[in-house]
Amino acid sequence: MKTQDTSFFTIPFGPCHPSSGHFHAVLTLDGEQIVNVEPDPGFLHRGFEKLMEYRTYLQNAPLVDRICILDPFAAELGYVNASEQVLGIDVPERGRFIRVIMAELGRILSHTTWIGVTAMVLGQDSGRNIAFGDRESIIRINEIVTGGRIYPCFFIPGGVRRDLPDEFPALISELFKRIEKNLEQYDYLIFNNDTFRLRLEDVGLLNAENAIDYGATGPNLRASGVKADVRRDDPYEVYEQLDFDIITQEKGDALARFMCRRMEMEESMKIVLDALDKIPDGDFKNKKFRPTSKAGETETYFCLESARGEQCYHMVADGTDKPYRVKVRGPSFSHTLVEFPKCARNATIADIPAIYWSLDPCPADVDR
Amino acid sequence: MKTMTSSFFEPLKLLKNLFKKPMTLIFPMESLPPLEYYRGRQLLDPEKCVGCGMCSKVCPNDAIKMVEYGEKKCPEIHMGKCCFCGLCAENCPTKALEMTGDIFIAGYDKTFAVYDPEKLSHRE
Amino acid sequence: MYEKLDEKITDGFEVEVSLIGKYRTYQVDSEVITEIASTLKNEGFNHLSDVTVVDYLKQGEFEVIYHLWSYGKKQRVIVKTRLSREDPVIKTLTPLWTSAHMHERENHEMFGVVFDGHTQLTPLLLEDWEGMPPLKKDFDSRQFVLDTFYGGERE
Repeated sequence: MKTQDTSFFTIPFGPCHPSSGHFHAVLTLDGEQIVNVEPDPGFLHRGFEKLMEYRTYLQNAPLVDRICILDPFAAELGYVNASEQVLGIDVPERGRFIRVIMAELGRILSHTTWIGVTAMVLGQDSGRNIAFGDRESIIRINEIVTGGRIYPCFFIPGGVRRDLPDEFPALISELFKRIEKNLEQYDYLIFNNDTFRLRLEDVGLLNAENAIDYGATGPNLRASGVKADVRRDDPYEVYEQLDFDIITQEKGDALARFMCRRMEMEESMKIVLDALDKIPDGDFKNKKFRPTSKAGETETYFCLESARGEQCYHMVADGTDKPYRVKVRGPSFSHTLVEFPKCARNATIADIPAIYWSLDPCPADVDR
Repeated sequence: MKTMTSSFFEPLKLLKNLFKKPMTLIFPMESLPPLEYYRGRQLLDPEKCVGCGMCSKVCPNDAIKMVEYGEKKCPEIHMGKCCFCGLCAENCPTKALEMTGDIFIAGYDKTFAVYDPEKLSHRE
Repeated sequence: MYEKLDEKITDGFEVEVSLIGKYRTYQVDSEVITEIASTLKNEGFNHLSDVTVVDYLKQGEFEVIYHLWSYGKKQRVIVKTRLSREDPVIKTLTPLWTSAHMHERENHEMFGVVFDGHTQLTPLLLEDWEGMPPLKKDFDSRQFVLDTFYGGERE
């Protein structure tokens, strides 16, 4: 007579773990194989959608920064464009170029932070130290241009709050020299390192059809072979006048997602230099916007490409100076709640940090 | 390109980092130079203030109250609620409020947090 | 750009056609939402971006909004329906798009809309919450803050 005794046990992939950010998931294990992953978000829920209904359109602008702390410029850009469509005001051309330059700098900042945290989580502390030193240089430029290091509060409906300083092109060329030198070091230490490639290859596979069905957007989708980017398919601001490529990879495993993000940093640097060449002179904000401007009775919808994927704002206005309903779609909502459990289905427990961080989650986006 | 595992002597190249200057600064002996436009605490000029109350209406967190100061009304700011966004200084019609680069505003009890117009008008 | 799509959708259903921003919008009855969604999915709209609910207190209705995008045609379509506030029930779209599972769960928790056929309508973001769904317009946030943090009253 043969008896078989398998007992499943559960462990928390907890919110206080350095390898998971502020996100909680319950893993059910059979020995070392994962049987089930149950996500449990909600530790960063601050209720932005209700808070925005009690403040005017100008007072909401410093509040929207705090939705996703790692990429604040993208969240601000979406809110400001949606409220301009509802209020009916135009933006001068110089203001639009300044917004695109700062948004792409925010994308480089987000990817650098991601490299640092991923290197730390997979066991290599030197990569983290170099990446966070790079991050300090980018934040110093934030401080010089906008006045705040992490929460810039720079975009308002109608343009931007201040003009770029005169020494901005010199600062940017110095920063990009430093980033290019450090990209070679990242390649040497992390991306071409045999130990990391063995850990990331063929792990967390996702083919193109499943990726679209589970709601993946951004670099996660482009790593599975689908050539989709909101900046090209549905252009906003001045992206039609700028020249850049869209990076795709074929395989759809964790290594493909890593390489996709690493090559996007170089494309962002090209966009910033191109925009600095083509920027016109003139006003940087529309003076018709007042703190008590009222909106019409309309609704609008606006989508943009943030560092993590597609971020969208649905805004309903009712004729007063406060919005009636604002809905924010965070790009990490589908990645952590639908894709992570499906990709981790048959992996071992040692693969969990690699799969989780290759999807680049921001738990603040999930909960808002 | 050569990687860390190409040959036995590759990792020894990293020893050159021993002779470079560290990236961190030892505070408070060394610190970053302060900038002229940085959103720290506010500074009030009572001569220019006309008591219109625009700063109080624009604040997103309701941190500014108008109180009596001499013959007119001037702002009183609660630093615990302030989010240092700079909208009050930007919308002041006479430019009486400005943001300085002073970030050392910690204290030992909660009374430090409320800045009445007298305290706001001194730089210390 | 949207003419062929308009013909296919209005064939046999009562649909109101308009524009939100620059995107085509269809206002339909809540009974036929599954047929319209499968027609749109067969036309190539394979990405469900978002499911939103707006609460119109004065008219006594909830409005459920679905945002769809097609990677092949690079077009966006918005579908809206109206439900009554006392008994908000609508069929789930999880068999068509897997990502709808989590969006509907969040909207059930925040507004109280019931998605018929959903397998797991349990709380997602809030913990130990008893009381009315918080994003409705008749939820008194000032009274909630006074009760929770100040014990009922404040100067």
